[in-house]
Amino acid sequence: MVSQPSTRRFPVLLLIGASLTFGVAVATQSAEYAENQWWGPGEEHTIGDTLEFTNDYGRLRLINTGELINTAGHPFFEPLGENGRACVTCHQPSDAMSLSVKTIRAQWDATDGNDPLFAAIDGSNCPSLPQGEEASHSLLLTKGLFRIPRPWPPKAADGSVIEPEFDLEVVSDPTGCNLDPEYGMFSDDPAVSVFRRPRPVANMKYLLTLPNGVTPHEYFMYNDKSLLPTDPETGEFVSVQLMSDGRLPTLRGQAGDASSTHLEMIAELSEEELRQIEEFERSIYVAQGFSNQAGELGGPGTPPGLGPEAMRDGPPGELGNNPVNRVFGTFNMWLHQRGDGEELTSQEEFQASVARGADVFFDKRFFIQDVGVYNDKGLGNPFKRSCASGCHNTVLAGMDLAPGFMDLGLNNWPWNQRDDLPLFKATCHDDAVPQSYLGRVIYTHDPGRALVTGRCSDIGASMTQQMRGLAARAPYFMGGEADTLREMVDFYDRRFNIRYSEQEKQDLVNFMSVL
Amino acid sequence: MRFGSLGPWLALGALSVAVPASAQQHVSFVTCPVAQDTGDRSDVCFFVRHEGERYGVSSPPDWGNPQLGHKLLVEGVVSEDGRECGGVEIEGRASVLPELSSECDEIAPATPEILALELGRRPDITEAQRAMILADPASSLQIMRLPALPVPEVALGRTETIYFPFERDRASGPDAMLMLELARLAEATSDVAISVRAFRGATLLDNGEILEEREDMARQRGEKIVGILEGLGAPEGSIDLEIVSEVEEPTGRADWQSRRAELRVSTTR
Ligand code: HEC
Repeated sequence: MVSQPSTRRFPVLLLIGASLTFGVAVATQSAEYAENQWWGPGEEHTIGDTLEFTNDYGRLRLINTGELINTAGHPFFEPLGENGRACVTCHQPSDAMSLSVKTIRAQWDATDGNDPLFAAIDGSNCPSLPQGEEASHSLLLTKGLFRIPRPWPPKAADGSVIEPEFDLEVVSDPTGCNLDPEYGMFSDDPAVSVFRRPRPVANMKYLLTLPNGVTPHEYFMYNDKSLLPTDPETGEFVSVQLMSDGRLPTLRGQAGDASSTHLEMIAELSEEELRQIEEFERSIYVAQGFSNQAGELGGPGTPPGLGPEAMRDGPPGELGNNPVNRVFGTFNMWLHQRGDGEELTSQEEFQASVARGADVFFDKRFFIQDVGVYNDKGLGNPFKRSCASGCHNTVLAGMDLAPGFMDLGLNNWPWNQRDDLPLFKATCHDDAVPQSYLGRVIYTHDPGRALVTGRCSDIGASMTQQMRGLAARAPYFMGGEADTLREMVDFYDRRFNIRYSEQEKQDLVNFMSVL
Repeated sequence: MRFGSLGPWLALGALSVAVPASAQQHVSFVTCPVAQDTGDRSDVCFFVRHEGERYGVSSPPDWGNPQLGHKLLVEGVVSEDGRECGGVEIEGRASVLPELSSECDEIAPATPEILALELGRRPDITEAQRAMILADPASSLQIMRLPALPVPEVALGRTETIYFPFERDRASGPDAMLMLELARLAEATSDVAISVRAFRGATLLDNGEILEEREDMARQRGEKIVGILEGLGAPEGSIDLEIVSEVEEPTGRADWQSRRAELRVSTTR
């Protein structure tokens, strides 16, 4: 699927040419085509400069800054393990290199649940459940969640055991997996099963570059002023932006782990395979490229931060919470396109809403309170900031540039209480520093970072994610809490008692739909 | 959020705590902090009420702001004429106590008097910047970086001291910069010897009570510093760590100085 820089102006024509390989017909933007955008493991596709894929809000655009890729024989796309999956199974180009629940559902329906995507190991609530029944895959089918078994007690990178500062009990577990004799916490290979969304594998330079201009220095965790981890191969400091809990700080480490866990590969990836995977991951950029309501995203006359070209050309590792950069750059050209009294076209009206949403995102402050491993970073509790200046401050990508994890309230009670996930009770030892706002007894659906560090104060903390390609990859948050962008906004509104007006909420949703 | 620390960073030199003269009034007490809203577009500040007076505490940059949900240990000297967060300034250190105190939950609304003080303001876009973006929207993605932190000067044989909040091992940003420079100095010095002496402290409160830090705080601080120095390139085996677990007798005057670590890089040649 090769196209020229003119893609943006003639997306439909070029895509029809491209559709030979995987049959996307973009002449209409009907949602039915979602199924046809599926890239199965081992299939042959070519990735030239640009690809586009439809979604409910318009089209996602993926650009490749590397050589033309033929997916046949490429280790990211080949089923290398025992279960027939490839990396692409869970990191689909159409879904911004993550995987939407809509795609998962379509794949279930198309294959009657037989696609390797639903492999027992982590594509079901627990491998011991009867496979092939929807109920056994309910977390994947409804929330897009894969099972992530983590060793308990936690293990360091060198395999040594980390003595946790807390005891963990299973209060309830609808999946049954944490008490399962073979897979649970008391099995021969004790593990805590948590359930998480795949994170987008694109725009990687923004996640891998050490933060510039974050005080005190790029070698330190902002939070507790300990040093950042280092790459075991090069000894260089690494950002901790990869994975929701930062357990694997490099792409190579991550790929090696994914091949043995998600792909159930017995052998190790070869040097050449690792190299190809990393090169691919570093070459691709995604962002929404066309909005059904706002039109073209990126290019002359549109906000400079939109479209994947902006991601490709933008500076990684920079702090955008200042009045010039405003994280995603200016949207002002969409704000007032007509004089007073002149009527806006519906496209202009939508564009104005996006621009207002960008302003709400950047300017509207609220009390950020009781966020564990955040308000206690030295910032103070509460801290009064906006979405952008509080946390989502990395230029063009939108995660928190200051390396650190936080408990937004998604994993821990009381802010989020879920019936579908396991619930743990963590009791921290008396000599441990307590979690700053929940103390020593914490109810949690996912201990998050604490499953890596063993620390009480880290319970429930996770790493912010990039904000690009959101339109293509619902549901949102690491546990899939928000089915829609609106539910995401509602979560924040509730959590921080922001009291956004109805208009502000809609503006924020429209803004996020074009990222 | 890091943008917010610009002001304090730049004022670094000016903020260091004055050596208390005897006429000054020392205070040392534990109380709930109150968060002061300062308006829609400005930052929260914190004050405490103590014996009928409103006080604001000025700690060094990135030392760690007060937190609702926790009590605050205030140690310092009442300023003659300084004002902080709408109250009398206490120059010193405010430490967030680690245990939960859910009764500390007050956010004071931004009253007209508070708004008039224009607290917690940060720079807005300038007219020149606005014009630049209007002329070329892409310039909104040209990166505007904060000025780098001042690089502290370090010297062979000189002892540097890092102070800590109560029962914490988190050094501030400027302290982290200091460690970076010390590690660089150590790396560049032949036959280097680094001495790290880590202490735990105690504080005599105005009400006569003594607050003593947990037993292992000195070790925790010392080991963290050694890990940081080694991670930043200090030669392996060059660090001598001394853990001073006995507490010095607190006096009620600048007892925060007992919670410290002393670092010295020298050469054995
Ligand atoms: C069964 C689904 C699945 C498969 C197959 C899979 N992944 Fe993932 N991937 C995930 C999940 C889930 C996460 C998030 C895990 C977490 O946050 O703890 C993730 C995260 C990642 C991340 C981190 C992205 C970020 O922004 O933090 C990278 C990189 C990645 N995967 C690469 C790969 C590679 C390479 C392969 C193939 C060797 C692969 N994945 C196969 C599900 C999968």
